[in-house]
Amino acid sequence: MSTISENIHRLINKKIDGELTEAEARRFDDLLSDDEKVRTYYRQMEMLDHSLQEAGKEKETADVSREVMEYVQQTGPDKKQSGKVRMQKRFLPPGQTVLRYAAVLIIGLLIGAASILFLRPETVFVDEGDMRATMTARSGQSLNIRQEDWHLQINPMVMNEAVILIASLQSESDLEVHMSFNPDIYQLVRTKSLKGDIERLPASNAGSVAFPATGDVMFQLVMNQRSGMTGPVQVSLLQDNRTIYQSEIFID
Amino acid sequence: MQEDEYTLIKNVQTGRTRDYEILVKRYQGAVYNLLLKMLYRPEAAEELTQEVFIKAYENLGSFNYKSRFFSWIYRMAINTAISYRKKEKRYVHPDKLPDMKDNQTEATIMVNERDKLLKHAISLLKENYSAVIMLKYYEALSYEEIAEVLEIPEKKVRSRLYDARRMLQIHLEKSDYFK
Repeated sequence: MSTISENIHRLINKKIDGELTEAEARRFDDLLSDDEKVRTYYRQMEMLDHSLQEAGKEKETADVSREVMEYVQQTGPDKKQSGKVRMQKRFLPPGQTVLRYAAVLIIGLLIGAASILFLRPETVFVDEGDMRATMTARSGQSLNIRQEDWHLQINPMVMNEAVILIASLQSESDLEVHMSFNPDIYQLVRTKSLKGDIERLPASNAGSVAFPATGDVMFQLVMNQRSGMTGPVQVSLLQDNRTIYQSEIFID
Repeated sequence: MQEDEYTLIKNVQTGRTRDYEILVKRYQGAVYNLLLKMLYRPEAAEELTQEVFIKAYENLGSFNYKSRFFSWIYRMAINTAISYRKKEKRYVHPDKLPDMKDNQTEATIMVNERDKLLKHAISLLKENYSAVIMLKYYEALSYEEIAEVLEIPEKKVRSRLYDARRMLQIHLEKSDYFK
């Protein structure tokens, strides 16, 4: 259904929301009678709208008023402050506000400089024997799993709509690295061997890649991320077709 | 309603704290529902509903009377849910939701499966898109109200909703949802 143009998509959305002008309604009717693809797309969008409306009708309730009011009674009103509730906001004279902003700016700059100079990527370590891990891929974070006979490290880089995973594996035995992801969200652009002998894989719509890996290898996986969507990348290590390690990397 | 709420807020600010209960009772159901739909965890949703109203009470001094109380509290609820999901990574994936009853008919099972597919597709959207879907369909807010809650222009609300619908349609079509 990717052939539906932006204009038709907008027109269908306006129709669903009941916001078509008379001229747009005529154009919409013409399109609907002329084009089977538009009819199918409209039917699907209408069904989606209906399902969302139905889902919205399910309502649950919770009563937290007692707990909240208990807190309110314990903390407010502060009698020492002329019977007024103690509020967090403090109003400062303009001069003091400027000084405060300047101080915040200077501290921010110092922290920024310090993080460039001294901070190293945050590392997610996994306890020995723990064969599962999840991590959130943010700038400067890495997954680092060291076991007796293998060491896996994954450094993700998340840019606008591209995800780059650089993985290095040192292993004494023959292992296989599997990475899988939702192909509706991520499209493999390429894989590249950075160290060792790993076959280069071209762009594909498949939702997984696998490499045999022995010794000291490093490879790069480049994927496009569909705008507005996110999902985990699953990483597994296999030995003799048996999964010996699994982790999930959430792209943030 | 708006005038009445402004009066209640002023009353709370000047020490009549029991008026805050009226605001809590008015919006706790909506806030709880929104959090439940975003997190799929009833206990967490209840805990966070409480947290949102306590946070709102503590920050009532910064309420500027330019927006409505509901949009202020919804914004706080959305931000709380987003931080919770990022920090805790504990929200239940819709696929792992327990089935409601054992004696389900085939038709009910199909409806539940479709419901799970829809929830799963929504869970794949980034927060700025899923928030628009939640506010439009689950909270039945108008475009103007959504714009106020998210502090974005109404035009942007429309374009985000259109994009979110398209993303859901693409995902659901691949899952045979429409067949």
